[in-house]
Amino acid sequence: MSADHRPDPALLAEYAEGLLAGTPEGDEVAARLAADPAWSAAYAELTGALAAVRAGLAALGPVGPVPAEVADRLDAALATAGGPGKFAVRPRRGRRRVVAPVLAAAAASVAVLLGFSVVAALRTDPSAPTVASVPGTVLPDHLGETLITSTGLDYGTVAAQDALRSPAPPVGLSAAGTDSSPPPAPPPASPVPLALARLTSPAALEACLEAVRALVGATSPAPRSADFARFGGVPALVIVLTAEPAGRPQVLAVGPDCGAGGVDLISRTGGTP
Amino acid sequence: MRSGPLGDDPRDDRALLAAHVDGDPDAFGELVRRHRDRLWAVALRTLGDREDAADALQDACLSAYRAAGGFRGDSAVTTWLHRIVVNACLDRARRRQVRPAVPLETAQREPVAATESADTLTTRLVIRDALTRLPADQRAALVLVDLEGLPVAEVAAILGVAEGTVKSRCARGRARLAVLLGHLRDDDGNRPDASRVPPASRRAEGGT
Repeated sequence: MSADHRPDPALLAEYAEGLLAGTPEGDEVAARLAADPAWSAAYAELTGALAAVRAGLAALGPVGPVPAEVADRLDAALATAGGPGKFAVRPRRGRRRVVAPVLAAAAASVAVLLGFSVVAALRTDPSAPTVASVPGTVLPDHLGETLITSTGLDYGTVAAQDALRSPAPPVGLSAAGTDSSPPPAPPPASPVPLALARLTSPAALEACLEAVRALVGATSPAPRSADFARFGGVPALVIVLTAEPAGRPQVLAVGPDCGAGGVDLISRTGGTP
Repeated sequence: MRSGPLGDDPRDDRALLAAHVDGDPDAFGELVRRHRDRLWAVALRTLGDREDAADALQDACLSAYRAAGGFRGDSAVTTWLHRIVVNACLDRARRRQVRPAVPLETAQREPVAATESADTLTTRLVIRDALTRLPADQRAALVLVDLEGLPVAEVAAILGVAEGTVKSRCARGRARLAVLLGHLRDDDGNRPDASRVPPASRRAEGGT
């Protein structure tokens, strides 16, 4: 029990699950609930919240079958492992080999946050007017704690894509490396749109990420990822971060002037309800 | 949980494991193929990162492959396999604690998601993200109990702890999720079990 007698969510959670039944701690919580309105209010709030959590977990649904490339790795590893108890040769796919599907998955995650369908979001738009790219750009894998990617994907809305009138076949999830064919190596990072050239400088990128961080909240942690991509056909750096204390992920699409006195915000979604 | 034959191989899990120990070159592969979808789901949910999950699953399967001779049959083969996979995941999660998890497990098999509402998809993503931010032991318990639907007794066997400990970890994990998901706000800025460990939990954790 908390020394200051304020409601303790973890203790109340155990009480709500019946884990304290017949224990001195359970009796003490019961007494507090009967005597202290703060505890009874916290308990009512908690039980409602736990119901929402259970419903949310139930809504997650199944993961689905093991991806073909993972299954292939397992088969290959076991096929070369020798007999039980023997030292195994371990075929391991290097980290970079799976960057492409990881990036596609990350893009899909962001697409989901932005509130439109994954398939629509995973369209590429090679005919978009901003396809010119920065030649020979080599981006760092990370800047501080932030994963830096260049998927070239268009995170724009379905409506925005329709407006562009430049239909392109969906990349399809198999193109994200989930079919049985081996992914290409090295990973096909997309070129950085020319309009975003300024942000390929680490100093400019860092200034941009700091500006975004300041916009979201001074106490927010470093962005998790920054993707050189497009939003509704417009070159954009798409940034994912989680602001405390609510801890909900936010996605911001920013333009090339991000960090140069402002954020150059194109779109923002998610965050504290 | 499946423990019997699948596909063309009529042998059950124990027979396959015994055959592997006796030198059958195909038996362990068949065993893994039989259960890998479920083991993959556990690894992916526990680690929240596709590459880490793939590495953990591979580590675990190779460990099980080598350690098969030590299987004493005091639990189901699937329980034993789950234990090895979960331990591999927890080891990996501990090693990467300094690196924030990124929810990259937007399942490759989610074209079905395109038919769902954006709200539903957003909710799923946010929950997956919150799961990755739970302490590893709570996350593992919640994944096995709430997501994989395994009985608490089996989860206790998998994790090698008392059933009360499993329940405690689940209860605390759910309460922490409630805060992370914004269903519950801790006015003091404290997160459930972040710093305070009530007597009941200490008893459960130590009373295995």
